[in-house]
Amino acid sequence: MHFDLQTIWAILVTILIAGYIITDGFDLGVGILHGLVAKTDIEKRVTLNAIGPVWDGNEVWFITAGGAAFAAFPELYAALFSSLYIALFIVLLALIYRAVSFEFRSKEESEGWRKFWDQSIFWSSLIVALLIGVAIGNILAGIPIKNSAIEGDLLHGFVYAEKFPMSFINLVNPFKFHGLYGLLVGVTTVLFVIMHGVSWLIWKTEGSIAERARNIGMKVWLPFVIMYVICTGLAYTISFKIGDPSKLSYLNLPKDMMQQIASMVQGNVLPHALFRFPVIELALIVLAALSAVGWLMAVKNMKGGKAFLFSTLTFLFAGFAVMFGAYPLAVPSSIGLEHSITIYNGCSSELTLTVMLVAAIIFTPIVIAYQAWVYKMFLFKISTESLKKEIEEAAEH
Amino acid sequence: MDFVLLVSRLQFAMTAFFHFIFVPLTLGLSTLSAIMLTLHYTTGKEIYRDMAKFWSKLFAINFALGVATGLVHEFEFGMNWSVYSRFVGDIFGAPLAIEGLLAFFMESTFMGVFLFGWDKVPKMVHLLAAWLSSIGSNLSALWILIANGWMQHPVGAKVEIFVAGKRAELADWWAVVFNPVADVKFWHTATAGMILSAVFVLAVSAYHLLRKQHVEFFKKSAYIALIFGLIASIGEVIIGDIHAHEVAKTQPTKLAAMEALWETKQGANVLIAAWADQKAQKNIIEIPLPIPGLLSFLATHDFNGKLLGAKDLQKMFEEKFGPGNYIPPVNFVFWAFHIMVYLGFFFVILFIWGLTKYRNLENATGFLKVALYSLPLPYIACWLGWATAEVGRQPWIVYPLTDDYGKILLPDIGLKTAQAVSPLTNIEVIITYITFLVTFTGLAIADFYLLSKFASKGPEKEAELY
Repeated sequence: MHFDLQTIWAILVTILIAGYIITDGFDLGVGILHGLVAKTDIEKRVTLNAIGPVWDGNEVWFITAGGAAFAAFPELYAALFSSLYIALFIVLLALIYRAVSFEFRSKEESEGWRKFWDQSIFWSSLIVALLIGVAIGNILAGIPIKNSAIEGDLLHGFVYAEKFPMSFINLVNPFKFHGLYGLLVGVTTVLFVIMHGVSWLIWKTEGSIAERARNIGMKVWLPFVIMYVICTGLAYTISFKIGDPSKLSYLNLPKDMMQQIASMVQGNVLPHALFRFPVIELALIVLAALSAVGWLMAVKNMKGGKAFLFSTLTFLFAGFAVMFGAYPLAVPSSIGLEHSITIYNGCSSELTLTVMLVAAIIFTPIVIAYQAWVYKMFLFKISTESLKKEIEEAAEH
Repeated sequence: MDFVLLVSRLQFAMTAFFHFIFVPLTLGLSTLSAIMLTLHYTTGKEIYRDMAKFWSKLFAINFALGVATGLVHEFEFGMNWSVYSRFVGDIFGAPLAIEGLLAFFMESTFMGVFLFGWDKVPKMVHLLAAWLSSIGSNLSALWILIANGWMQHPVGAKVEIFVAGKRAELADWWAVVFNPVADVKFWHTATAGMILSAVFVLAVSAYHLLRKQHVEFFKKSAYIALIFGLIASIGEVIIGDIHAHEVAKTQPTKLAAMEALWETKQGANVLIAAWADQKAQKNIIEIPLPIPGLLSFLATHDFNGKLLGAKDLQKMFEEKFGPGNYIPPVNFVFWAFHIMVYLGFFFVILFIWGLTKYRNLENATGFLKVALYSLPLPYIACWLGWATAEVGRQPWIVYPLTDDYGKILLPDIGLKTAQAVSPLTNIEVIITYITFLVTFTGLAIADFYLLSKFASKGPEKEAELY
């Protein structure tokens, strides 16, 4: 591992994606849970107001992660978003419906109107979490992209080699390894956001909603742990074949890194490609598992803040295990390893990476500081009683 | 035209069109709400509290859709324009990332505090949040326009061959940030947002004043809007002039189309109206303004200045870039630009008229009716402005770097729109185009319904809750 600009940016983009899943993750979870933990309309409004002041700022992590990927790894941004065209389109559509559902739901009294937006909140939250997991799983297992520069085309960059409808169906095709793996990671992600949503609801609300959240949390823990073990185990079996070894220079890797990978190749195949740093990998996986245990204890004892910390750590450890596992590959190609996007052939120029790094060093701590400050301000408990009181007080004002 | 290209262009234009229903109101109304909140906290008067609450509620309904359409916009670069994205990403991606990091976080985080913080956070924090949210939304426009300005005038860049192909690379960061085209675009857009929001507040106020309800509340709101709007609309005339001057220098084909200028001329006239025959490369009808040399003066600051006509530009571009059509659709660009300019002058008159009637505004029925029915006009002006900028740039997606009224400095950086599209299939683009069209239309209708519901209800005592 090198500490060069590309590696720092790989870590920064991972942090931004993790920032998104940690912040928006709990409100996605609350969105999925909101019909289960809240029975009456006022309870539903409590769950939504539990994320009211923050979900919007949370979604900005997604936008910023997208922007940072565009700036630091333009080849990756261009190739990935055009390759996963329909999947990304569905995620965007779901995010749109989610945003407006929150905004529109309370604006009409009618039961039909509110039921419609409740459904919309559930499905959109579920689809976003599922498809983000599906995308991550597919990328880890490798997708059929090719580097057009290998064929002398200097315009198109990395392009997807399969055509619709197969391209999209294969993402969720359980009979193809990358589709199956995508689905498994997708389900694991959904279970994770539910856990994270449970943490938030216990932290932010009290009474019947927090109680129901706890009960769901106790049930969802075991399936999550099982799924995480399955995903990690299967990751060990992932290998990439090499089409033309003479073209591996297109990966643009530093010499020693290339040699290290070359030494692992067995008969034109790079086996257990995601476990090239076994010590770090195992340590992170164990830490993720321990955090999940800590989470279960905290939920059992109704300690919302602690539960939130542990679900955050669970994801961070698991997420960095994924990043380290893939490094230096960003999007491995299932056509041939030489067609893969790495952090060294997908990156921006040194100057851009430097300029952006300065911006990130200055602004990221500021953003984290004021977001934390705002969170702290809104971390008072709410309940059906407090909400009713607030509605009455405003009417008297 | 290739089907994927055509639908991708339609989809991007449609997203921009919907996005720009919501964004200009966000830009201006956030500032107006912050002004009202400042008045409340400094004077202690309840009426300003109600005003800030009422207008920020309309703002919040509108904002959700601005975020939703903006999200689609950002990802559409990669989805539909992957060749463009990989070609320009080294430069174009940076302002987008900084926009998120520096501006958008600020805007949306503090907006949450402003909208949900009533009586829950200290007054100073609440006020600070309102202003930070407003500054954040305008900073966000700045970085987006630095990105857009670079597509029009790609300064600070060089063309290099990288592992995955040819691309533009950053050579001078500060040149990109202080790109004269980008910076004037920002002021032009931010001011347009202020005018639009002023007309919005004025029109809603006129609606209530015509019914003689909440008179004091809406008279005060209208007053703030009139002052704010007058300053912004006069500023816009000046900024518009500077902007047109920059376009003349850096995008001669766009200027030729904006003014239906076919022949190279010294002392060119401004046309009030024109209709061109694009194939024959001439105007069928043209009505000039009787001030000789005005166009040359506006574009070059010299009544006798020389401006290249579309015919010569076409020849010049063909020599440099090979056969092709280098003149954007003249009638479309001419009228989009001219109607926008005429509307710009109309807003100045509207605000002056309103201020002369202010003492007895609730009885100035004539003015109030005009103000109410003017509501769609600033929206139309904003759309037409974007259409001028983006259609006028065609056939280029990245305009070859040009300066001094037609000197092409860096031809290699030019990228044609037709080359820039992703290798997608017909069925993929048609699915997304139709779904986005239906979704955005439905949401715009729902948004319009809710806005008119809450706007016509007037100020109410209600908690800001989901």
